[in-house]
Amino acid sequence: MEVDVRIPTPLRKLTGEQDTLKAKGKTVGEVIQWLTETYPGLKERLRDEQGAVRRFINIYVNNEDIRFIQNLETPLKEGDQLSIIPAIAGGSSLRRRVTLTFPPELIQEPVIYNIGHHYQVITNIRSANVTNHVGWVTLEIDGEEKEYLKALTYLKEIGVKVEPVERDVIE
Amino acid sequence: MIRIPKFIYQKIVDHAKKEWPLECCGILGGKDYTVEKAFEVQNAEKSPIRYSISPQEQLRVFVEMEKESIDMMAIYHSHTHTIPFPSETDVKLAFYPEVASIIISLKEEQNPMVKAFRIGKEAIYLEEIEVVG
Repeated sequence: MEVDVRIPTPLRKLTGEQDTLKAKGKTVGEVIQWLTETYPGLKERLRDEQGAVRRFINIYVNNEDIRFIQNLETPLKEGDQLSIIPAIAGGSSLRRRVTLTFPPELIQEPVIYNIGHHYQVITNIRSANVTNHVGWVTLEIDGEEKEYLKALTYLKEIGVKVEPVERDVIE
Repeated sequence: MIRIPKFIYQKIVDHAKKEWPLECCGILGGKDYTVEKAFEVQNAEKSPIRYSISPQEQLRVFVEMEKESIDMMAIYHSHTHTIPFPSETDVKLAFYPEVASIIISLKEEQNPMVKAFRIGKEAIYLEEIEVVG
């Protein structure tokens, strides 16, 4: 099947500055294979070291995300339009997760409210288990490193046990 | 170096203020280091500390830019309470060293700051913004 491939404009220098690329393939996977073999510069951007298409590369056939069709096995028809859309994202800081364990005397205190109030951090409770005698909370804390560290220091000073939770890996 | 017409510069600052306390994001299209159009897009994260542009929104913008024969020159987003410098997250998730990353900081309410960068694999490069017109 001959299909049109839309490459994001910043990557066109890797595909010979063509506005519209024509590719042949029966499935999305075949077209991507042809693209990355024909344009090695593109291969480096689209595939990881193991050769798999990077997770954050979105591929659309006409107006549908291939994840909702058959991923790389999605069949193509003559004249279909394939669009390669790398994810665009960011933010103001990396989310940090900690587990806080409260001693009995602090269970009634608005500790989490206090750190959000006194330091420039934004907290988000992921899970919690609080009774009259014991309490733990898994918290996401966002903010500049300086403020985050101040908040942690405060927590430790008042007797809260702070343990970092394994970070999410962002590739 | 990236040239931004004054009305577009104002437009992206206004966009950041409008979306506050959430982060705003958008794409700037143009040619020859000069921005011609700003495309405001939805922040799919709807968050004060995160932004992402859905592939559907990107596709919509790509099609519009194609119609006007302009290219993607910059991606802009706001930092609602931090400095206009790429954060760890911005750097980790950056994909296009070719495209300027413009950050509008609303850290000081009365003094929004706009800075541009190119985020490469090894380093972050400060990009000069020239406001024209």
